[in-house]
Amino acid sequence: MLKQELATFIEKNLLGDDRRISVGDTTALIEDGLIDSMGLMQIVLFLEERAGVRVPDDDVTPDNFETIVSIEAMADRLRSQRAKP
Amino acid sequence: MSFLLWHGLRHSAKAFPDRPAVQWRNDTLTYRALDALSDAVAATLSAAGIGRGHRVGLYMPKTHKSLVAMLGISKAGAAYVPIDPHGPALRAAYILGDCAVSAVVASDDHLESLHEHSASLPSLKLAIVVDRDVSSSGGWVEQCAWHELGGAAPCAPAAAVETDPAYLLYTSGSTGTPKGVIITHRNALTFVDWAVETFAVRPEDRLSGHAPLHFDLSVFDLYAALAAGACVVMVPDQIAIFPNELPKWIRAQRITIWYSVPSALVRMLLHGHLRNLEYPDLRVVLFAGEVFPQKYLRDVMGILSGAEFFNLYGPTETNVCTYFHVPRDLDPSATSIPIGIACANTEVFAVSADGRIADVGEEGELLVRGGTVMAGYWGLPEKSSQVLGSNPFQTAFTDRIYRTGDIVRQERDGTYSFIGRRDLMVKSRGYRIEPGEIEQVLHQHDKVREAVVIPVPDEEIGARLRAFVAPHDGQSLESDDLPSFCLGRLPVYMVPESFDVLNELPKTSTGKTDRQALLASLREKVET
Repeated sequence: MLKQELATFIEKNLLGDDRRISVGDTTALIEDGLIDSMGLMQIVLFLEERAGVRVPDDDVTPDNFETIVSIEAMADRLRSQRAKP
Repeated sequence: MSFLLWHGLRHSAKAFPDRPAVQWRNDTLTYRALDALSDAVAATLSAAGIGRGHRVGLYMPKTHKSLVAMLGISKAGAAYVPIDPHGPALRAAYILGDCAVSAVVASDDHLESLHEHSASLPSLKLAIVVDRDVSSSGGWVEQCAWHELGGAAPCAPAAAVETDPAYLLYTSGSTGTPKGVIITHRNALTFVDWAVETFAVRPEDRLSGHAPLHFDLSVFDLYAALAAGACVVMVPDQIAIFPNELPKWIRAQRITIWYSVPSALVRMLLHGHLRNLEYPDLRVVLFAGEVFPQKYLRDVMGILSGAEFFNLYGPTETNVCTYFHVPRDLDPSATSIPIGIACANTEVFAVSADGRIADVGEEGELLVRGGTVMAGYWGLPEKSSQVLGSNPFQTAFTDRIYRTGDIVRQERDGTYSFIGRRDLMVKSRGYRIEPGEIEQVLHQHDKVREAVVIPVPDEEIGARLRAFVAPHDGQSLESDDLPSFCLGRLPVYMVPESFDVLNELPKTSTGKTDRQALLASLREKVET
């Protein structure tokens, strides 16, 4: 599941080993300041390279990136848009 | 007479008590309120015996309360030490311990993260907690809730002098730990007075507060606004990270003076639809901290056509020392724009390798003298004397100068151009980074035998950091083990973007790590 992969990616690459945070469905990535602009770009790259989803600039919004659930929902929507003829 | 940081606030509070001084999200403080609240912080610190000769840490997300705290600490006569609220607690504790803070103003979470490092904070006796309703004592440190600040008896501001430390800013250190740049009231106000006059800051202005408070760009946003009776509108972190949100924010907040690193503007240009809106209120755009690639600057100036653009230059040790008013008709053949001429009340000159004042067109190291030059590095007299010396061209009396380590060239028109560094320091997103500090952290990992960090020049952000490591014999090391390890010890902007594990790092004929070979291997990778 994408959100699980995202959680692991964020824990291993965007959070320090001192934070002892496990990223769950409701973890507020933006509001709680867990990711910054560089982290945001790394998630966008992760989605492109590992999940094959290209995120247009217009979709890089606080709502879409607030939790791993919202990121997964955005990725699903982008995939289904791409699948449409 | 203004000679202490908070004097600008006191003047503006008398002249414009009901004008907005600071705004953060939907919270606005008038000058009267900001003055009264910062008095309460000062009274609380004074009642605890904290004042002149003390340092007070600031460890919290950036809000309007941060400014209240900074001014309160200053009124008490102490120096404040702003800490990156997104950085690791270990580094925060190191900094707070290094300058032996007596108190911190912190959020509940940030204070809690310091608890396990309390052994390195023996002089800490008070915490003012900004998001707590009830004070507590008897724990590992006495804790005063923000809402109960009014309890201490009012006190007169401390009788500080302009050469007292006003704040300490910690920057990356090549020997493995950050170093604290001591900025006095005089240092800061020399710059602020110049800036208010040069950019004609007035009470109607609304200044963006984009830079983090541990970054010296914020000194202009906060103190130029206070000195002029203007309003500083702090950019919430949650908006600052989205290039799409920032242009909308600038327009909605009717920002008149914007100040940031170039990469923040480039991100808005490339990823944030900067060109889709109009910004009728914006009259001045200031940028500093790194080189602004000409091709992007031209586009940004074309979109923000109602604003004057200025490039400000200066290491943390001198705040801003030169500036360049960018002309509308930028020379399209030039690859970078000059750092300009010295600010009023500051002198700069380039010195050649053989100790002469460099000729026009000749490269030399930039030296700075004047009121903005720092007092020194905290607790590092040797390091301080390496960069602060007496002016070799003035032998009749002692005249302090600062050696920037930046190589520059004076052009025929009198402006200076930045050429590069004398050492390995690089800039990424405007932050100074010593690769040596990152390498020291990598060496702390149990399995790492050798580590080297290579900065790769990048148009958008200045430099991207790549790490190469070799494990101890017989150890298996995965590159996945390293980002989280670094993030636990370094601020995020110092964590390399990639980690390559090699059995051996390439060596030069003298046995040193061959940085050029590693850089070349990265370039080959990009090309293939």
